[in-house]
Amino acid sequence: MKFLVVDDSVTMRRILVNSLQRIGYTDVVEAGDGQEALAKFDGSIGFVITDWNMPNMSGTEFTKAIRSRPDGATVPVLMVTARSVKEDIMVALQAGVNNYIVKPFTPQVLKEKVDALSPAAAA
Amino acid sequence: MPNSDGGEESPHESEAATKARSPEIRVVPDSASTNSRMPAASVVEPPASIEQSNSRVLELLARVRDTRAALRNSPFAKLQATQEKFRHVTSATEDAASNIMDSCDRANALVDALDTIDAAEQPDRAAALEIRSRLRDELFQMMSALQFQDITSQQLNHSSAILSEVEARLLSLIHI
Repeated sequence: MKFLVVDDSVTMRRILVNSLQRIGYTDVVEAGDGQEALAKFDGSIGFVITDWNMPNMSGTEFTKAIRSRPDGATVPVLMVTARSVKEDIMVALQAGVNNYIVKPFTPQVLKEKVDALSPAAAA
Repeated sequence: MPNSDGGEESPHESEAATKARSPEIRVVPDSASTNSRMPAASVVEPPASIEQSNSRVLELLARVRDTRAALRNSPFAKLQATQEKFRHVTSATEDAASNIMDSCDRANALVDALDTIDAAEQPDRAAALEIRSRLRDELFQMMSALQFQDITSQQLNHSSAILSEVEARLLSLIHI
């Protein structure tokens, strides 16, 4: 399964890519903001992991954009962010995000969330 | 009305006394009088410099009031939140540093264990494999602890924006 990792922090992208590799996922595409991610998103992407606060286009804006496309309507979207307020979580879910991880996270939590959203991965 | 040396001053001072006290004061002649000798109750017009100073002071006071209100309404509340963010940054960096150092200590111990296995006449390959797996776990823990960099940079950027706003408002106060 091909992952799209979206975060403006180079450090966080490296940690996410490394974490995905540790749980068995090596096919990963990276983007530094929502605009770049939108340009890289296509039907081959099977899972999206995105940050919220990013320049040019936020994670929620990016999610809304791909949800309006036929090839992005059902792709799992996991938001990884420092925001933890209940109202923020509701905003993310309303934008089309499927689930939410608060930073800092452990690879075990990441695996649980990915498995929960992707039955094929869990299998 | 008492004067500065305690004596009583007549409210109706002469033109000569007025000019002696403040030479820049121009005494406005009473229109009804044709005598060059001014009556006691003449209207004294303040000099232009005092009027200008008064206007300037009023303008400055208005700007101080506006700036104080602007500082009170928004930036001060945000400043208090900023202090909390700085405390969180300090705490997060301290925790991350401690976790990384702990992982380093455990990793070093695992390397020592591998050295011991390698030095044995018949090295236990299974044990070495298990130790290397734990060593990779420790290395990953160190990398994972670096998430604090992203979290703290967001908080510092937010605090920096607030401080810039307060600085701009204070500068506008200084430069009036």
